[in-house]
Amino acid sequence: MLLCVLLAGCSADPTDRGPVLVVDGSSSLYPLSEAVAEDFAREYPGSRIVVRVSGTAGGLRRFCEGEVHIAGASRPMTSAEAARCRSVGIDYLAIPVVRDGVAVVVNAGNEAVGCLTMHELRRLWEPGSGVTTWRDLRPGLPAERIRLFGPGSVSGTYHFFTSVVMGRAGASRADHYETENDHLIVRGVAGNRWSLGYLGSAGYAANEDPVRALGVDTGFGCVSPTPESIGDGSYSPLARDLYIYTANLYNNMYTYMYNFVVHYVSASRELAGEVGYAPLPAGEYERSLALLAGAREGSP
Amino acid sequence: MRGPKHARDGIGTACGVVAAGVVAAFLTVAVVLAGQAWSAADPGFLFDPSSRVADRAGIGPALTGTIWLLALTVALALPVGIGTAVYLEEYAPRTGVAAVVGGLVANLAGVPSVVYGVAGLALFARGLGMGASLLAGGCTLAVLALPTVVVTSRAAIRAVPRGLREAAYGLGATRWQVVRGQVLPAAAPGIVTGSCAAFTRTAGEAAPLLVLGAAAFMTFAPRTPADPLASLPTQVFAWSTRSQQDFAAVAAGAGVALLLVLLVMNLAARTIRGRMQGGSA
Repeated sequence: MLLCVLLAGCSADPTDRGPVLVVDGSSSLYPLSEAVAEDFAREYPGSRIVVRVSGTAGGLRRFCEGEVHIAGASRPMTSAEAARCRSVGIDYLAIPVVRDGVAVVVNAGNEAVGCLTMHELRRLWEPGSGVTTWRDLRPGLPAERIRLFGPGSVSGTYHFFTSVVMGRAGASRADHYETENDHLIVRGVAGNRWSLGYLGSAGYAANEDPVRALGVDTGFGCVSPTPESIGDGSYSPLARDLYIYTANLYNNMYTYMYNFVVHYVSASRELAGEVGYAPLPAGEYERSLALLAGAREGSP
Repeated sequence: MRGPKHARDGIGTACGVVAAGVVAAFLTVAVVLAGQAWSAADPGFLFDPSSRVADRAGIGPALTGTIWLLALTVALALPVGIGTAVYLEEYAPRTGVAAVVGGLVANLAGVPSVVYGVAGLALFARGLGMGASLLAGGCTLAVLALPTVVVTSRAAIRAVPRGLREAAYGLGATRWQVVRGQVLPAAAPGIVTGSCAAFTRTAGEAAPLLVLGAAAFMTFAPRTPADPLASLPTQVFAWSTRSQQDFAAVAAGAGVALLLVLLVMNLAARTIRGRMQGGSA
């Protein structure tokens, strides 16, 4: 192991061949980050960009440790995370890039239900929920057991869904199948006629498996998650903005990173649909670009 | 008389059937993989980075990363592993420390690989500041390979006939001269075979590299050990968790590439072993 130590000592400074830009964070934002990095590298050959997936919490932790330059997040930083970032002197900007809806999905063979109210969602997912069959949820539905699939507790989607539906982040029943992998949620729901799950709309849109998104009724009628309803805000409150956090605005990586972040923001509008999200409302991107330009002006 | 011989024939036939089954299973895997990978086969596949579009996706960074990792693992684990084995077999007293160390090493060979990933994250990536680099990955995989290298090398050294050592001592050779001139050359084929098995296994590991923070996508092929960590197994994992069906073919293509890399390594080891046996005869 001494060899490892020696090699570490003489490993070259990575900045001498142009910096490596590290993008990490939410799996919800991975498809977008990947698409942006791919296009950026095609436009600027020789770009050295890495995209990793550690989840929102994992990505923000690494971001505040200075290991990551851009962190994708499916929720805003918590005050504890922000405090930790500030305590090590990392300055950051939070930039919304796309809008995501959390889709509640059922098997395509389940034609009995087309829409759930927020109240029903709450009864289904609240801690200690006694709902085990569809009939428990709403009289008249089949007395079939609901198999539940959802994201795990480190996921921003879990955080968001529980805080909207239950009113408290992290409040959820625990007797469901948990996974960070959207594809597994969809596969689980596709594999059983009476199952139900929830996930970010990109994971749902990218899928070819037979699942169907339910409409959600918040008291103003049933609204299904589509790019339009998510983008214009009518699929609220289960729609949220996804952010990127950028750091190190004042070191020598700045120009390179600035170009990449600007590219990220400008490309998001176009790429949003391709990766299953809705673009932000008009004006939002211009506002972010102005904010970035302002931050650059202000740097020494 | 008839009974036991009959039984032995039966066992022989059964073993033959099982062996044929194993070969058939391996061939099936290879054929299925190759069949799936066929649609991904084009020259760019070997050099291009991954992509969100399956048709454009390549294994350039992952393939380069795996070759780097394999080289680093061999360079780190082989000298340390053989050195440990020589010490334990030839120098250390049979009791006390050597027995304890030997037992510990043998047990380490059975620890799940993801545990090594967690240790590597704390020690190499964070503790020594290597970050999620190829070097951190190579060091972690080297530690993972080490117990197997030590155990198989010890067995190979132990199998060297006592007479060979005693004859050399009788001619006035020092202990190191005996080890270098007699024991190691005689044990080399066994050491190479055992180490090859260890490195084949570590080259296919995804779990410890995912814990360290392997890249899911990168725009360039790594050029030094300080570059970010990428590998074929983690790339296969990243692709196989995607929902688009087209990526199954690309993942299969990466699987075939991994098989070829390991095949080349094993052929190289065979050549080296053949030379050694030819030389010592």
